[in-house]
Order: sequence, then structure tokens, then C-alpha cells
Amino acid sequence: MRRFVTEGAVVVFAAQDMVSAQALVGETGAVAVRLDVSDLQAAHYAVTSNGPFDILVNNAGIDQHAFFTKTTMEEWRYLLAVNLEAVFATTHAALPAMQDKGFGRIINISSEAGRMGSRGGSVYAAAKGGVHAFTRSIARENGCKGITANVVAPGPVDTPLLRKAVDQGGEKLLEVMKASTLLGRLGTPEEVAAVVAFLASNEAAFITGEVIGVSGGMGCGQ
Amino acid sequence: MNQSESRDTDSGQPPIEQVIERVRKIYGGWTRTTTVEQMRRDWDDLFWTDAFPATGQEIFAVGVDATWIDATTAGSEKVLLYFHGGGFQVGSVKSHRDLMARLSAAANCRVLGVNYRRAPEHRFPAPIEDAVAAYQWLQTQGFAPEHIAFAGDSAGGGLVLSTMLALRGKGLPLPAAGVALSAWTDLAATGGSYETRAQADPIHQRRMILAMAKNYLGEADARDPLASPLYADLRGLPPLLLQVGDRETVLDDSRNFAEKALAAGVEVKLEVWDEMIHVFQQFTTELPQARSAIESIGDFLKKVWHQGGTH
Repeated sequence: MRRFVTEGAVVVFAAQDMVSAQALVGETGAVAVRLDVSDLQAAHYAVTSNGPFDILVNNAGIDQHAFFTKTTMEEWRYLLAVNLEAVFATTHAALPAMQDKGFGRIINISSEAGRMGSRGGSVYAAAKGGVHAFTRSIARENGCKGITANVVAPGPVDTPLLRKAVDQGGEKLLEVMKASTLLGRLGTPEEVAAVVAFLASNEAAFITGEVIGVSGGMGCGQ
Repeated sequence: MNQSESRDTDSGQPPIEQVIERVRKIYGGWTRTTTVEQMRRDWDDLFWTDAFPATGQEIFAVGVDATWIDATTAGSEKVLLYFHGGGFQVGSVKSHRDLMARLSAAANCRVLGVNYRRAPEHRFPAPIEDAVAAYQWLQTQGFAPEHIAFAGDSAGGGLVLSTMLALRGKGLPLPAAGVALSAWTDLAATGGSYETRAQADPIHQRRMILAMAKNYLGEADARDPLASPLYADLRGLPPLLLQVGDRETVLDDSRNFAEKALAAGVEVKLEVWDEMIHVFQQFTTELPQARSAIESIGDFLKKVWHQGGTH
């Protein structure tokens, strides 16, 4: 978000926590809308009512660490709504204007879990894998209209979501995550933002339908 | 609030008396020690309902805290920028959600309700600054001034007019039109109706209104034309619709303003509704007049926007 503002984009971002969102509005001059993306109609409306957009970045994500047999159907539905169906809703809302304009950049943030699977994150991984297949399909349908669609698949990145998982799972989890990358460390949010900004730029005009790992080589060979 | 769409009376009282009883229950529970937070919660509870279907979305931009309310089926490039009432002290986009949704449907436009800063934490002219910021933000979002109209009730009705005057003062383009319901245009409360309607008005007595004015003004003058648009030079304002009830102490705030606006060459339509109380348009469930008045606002705005009215 900050990176796009720095690059001169007019940014509208959706958030659930309006206290931190307001702070970000004050810092960046972007516009915030309150949105729970699991409410698909609201997600659709948020895009149609604030658009038209040239660039759509879907970055909402939620994980619950549990082995599959310990999960409930209710949890599956919620994880799928936030991680996958919300991407359908916002893309559905943003595409018509992009098609009319003959230009569009769709960048979906997924996870290396979407390619590799995840121990303790099966439904999350399934949703993210769904994002990959969905994005490639959108790329196929809209390439002739000047629209690119790509996935950025981060590995372990130092975010509040990861810190929360470490708080619950212990420091050992942190070491496991670091070791899962070839570079032996966590990524930074800025390193992910740089790739997203690149995919939105004119320099990336010939890249579409790709899943690009930003994971210290975690998905090497996938 | 649990409301029924039925207008059957279980007490045999006329609908307007039922409304008055409902409002009195809230005001009657307030004492000197009631906090402003409590009053704000009570107000939101008294008026809030989402029975009328509309999409709502909170937005924050720099200096702007507002909520989109959209009851149109196909969306619209027209926007009604709405300023809620509540003496500049209470009221919110929550308390006025229902009214805004109904206006959205009646005028076939989107409504942006402004959560302007309120007194006593933020006094005059903070609400006007927030109203100007919201209007300017709309323009950065691609809404042209001629596609924007202002509306508001009570203190918010005054804000409709004050904001236009502030814009004119800065040499900025004015919106296409303004709609003010039971507008508070005279914070010095000099109108004859403060006497002649004192008996008829169930809630708003001059003493209370002057206390609210002081709470908002702080050290500012009640006759400052930005605080009390009745005292302003009104030339150059866009077409205005003023609606007011005949049972209101603030009746003359509208009547006198309309007279002055006409004299200043402003196209102004004044509707005085018999037997109606302060911002009766908020009681659509009970009062057929509330529904008719909202229709009339819809027709006025559609005409301004050349969408053709129903009359």
C-alpha cells in the first residue's frame, strides 16, 4: 500500500480495523473503506463503488493452524470465503471497467502453500492453490483485452499474522520457517511490495498468468 | 429499535402523538448528569434501523469520515451529501441511516453521510470544515459539483447552508442544490415561532436551543453568518428546498431564511407541513406525511438533476 502511494498511484484500500486504517490514511493520503471480505456482496460493492480501478491487488488472507482432521466445515467455509471467494468477488467487480479501458493489472497475493501444500494449513493451501488456477484462468480470458493477471506467492514474511502464529506455536516454529527457505531468513513486507509494484508497472506488461514466489527459494522448482 | 411497518394504533392515538411519546421517552430519561456519550448512544438507538434496503460502506480519507448509503439498484453518478442533525452534539450516520437510505431511493442517487466532528469536543467551525472537506473529496473522486446536492436536517440543515456560504467565500464551485429539513439557521433564536409554537412543540424550547447553540459556538458570535446563515448575504446560492413542520419552535428559522433568500434572488421552495414536528421525515414508519415529504425531496432533486420528476 505504501509502495503504491510512493509510486504515485491513487490508492483505495479495504480494511477491517479502522483504527489502524485511519492512521494509514493520515500517513499516506490514501482512502480507506471498512470491509470484511468474507461478505462477498460488500466486497463486490467496495470495488464497483470506488472504481474504476486500473490495478487490483487482492491481499486479504487468513489462516488457522490445525491438522485437517481437527478442522470443521464451518472453518473451511470461512477460510475459502476470505482467501478465495473474495478474490472472485473483487475481480468480478473490477474486470468490466478494465475490459472497457483495454488495460488492467490484477495481482493476487497467495502463498507458497498454494503450490507446496502446508502441514497444518490444508484448507488455506487449497484456497491459495485455487487462487493460482483462478488467476491463470482470468489471464487466459483477458489477455486479448490488455489485462494481465499474476500471483505473488510469499513464503514466511515478517508480518503480524506470522508473529501471531509464532506466539501460538512457539519460537521453534520460527526456526522451522526460516529453515524452509534457501536463504534461511524471513522475508520483509517491502520485498513482497516490490514485486507487486513491479507487476503493476509497464515494465511487467509482458508477464501474465504467472505465479511468482517471493519466498527465499522456498518454492524452488515448483 | 423494533418498528413495525403497520400504522395501526394500539392506543387509538393519532400517529403523530405516538411519535411524540417515543421521542419524549428518550429526552425524558436525560438529566443534568447524562453524559454526551450516553445521549449519542440513545439517539443512535432511537432512530437506527436497517429495515430499508440499502448498501452501506464506511470510508475514511484525509479529513473525511463518512458512509456511503446506496439504495439505487443501478448506481448513480449523482450524490446527495448528507449532514445529520443533533444540535452539532449528537446524531451520526447511524441515527440517520434510515432517512439517508430513503432519500437515496427517492432521489435515485447515492448518499454520502458525513460524520462531522461534534461539540463540545469540536466546536464551530469544525463541522463546516468537515463538510467542505467531504465535498472536495467527492470532487477528487470524479463527482462534478453539478452532480452533487447537499441535504441535512436541523443543525445539519444549517450546515447545508453554512457550507455553501463557506464555499462561496473561498470562491469554490457550489453544488447543484440544497435541501434543508427543519433547518437551524438562527443560533440567536430570534424568530417569533419560539413564542408562537412554544406550546405546540413537544421538545425544542428556546432555552434548550440557546444552550445547544452555546455548546456549539463556544466564544463565537451567534450572529456570525457562517454559524447562523440567516444573517448572511445569500446571493448566488443554488436552488433550495426547505421543509419544516408547523409544530416547531424553529419554524421561523426556515420561514425567515426563505424570505431572505427569495429577496436575494435565490430560487427557494418552502414547504410548511401542518401538524408536523421537528424533522418529522425521520418517522416514516408512523407518519404518511414523512413519506410524502421524502417523495417531494426526491422530485425536487430529480428536477434539479434533469431526471424528470413524478409530477
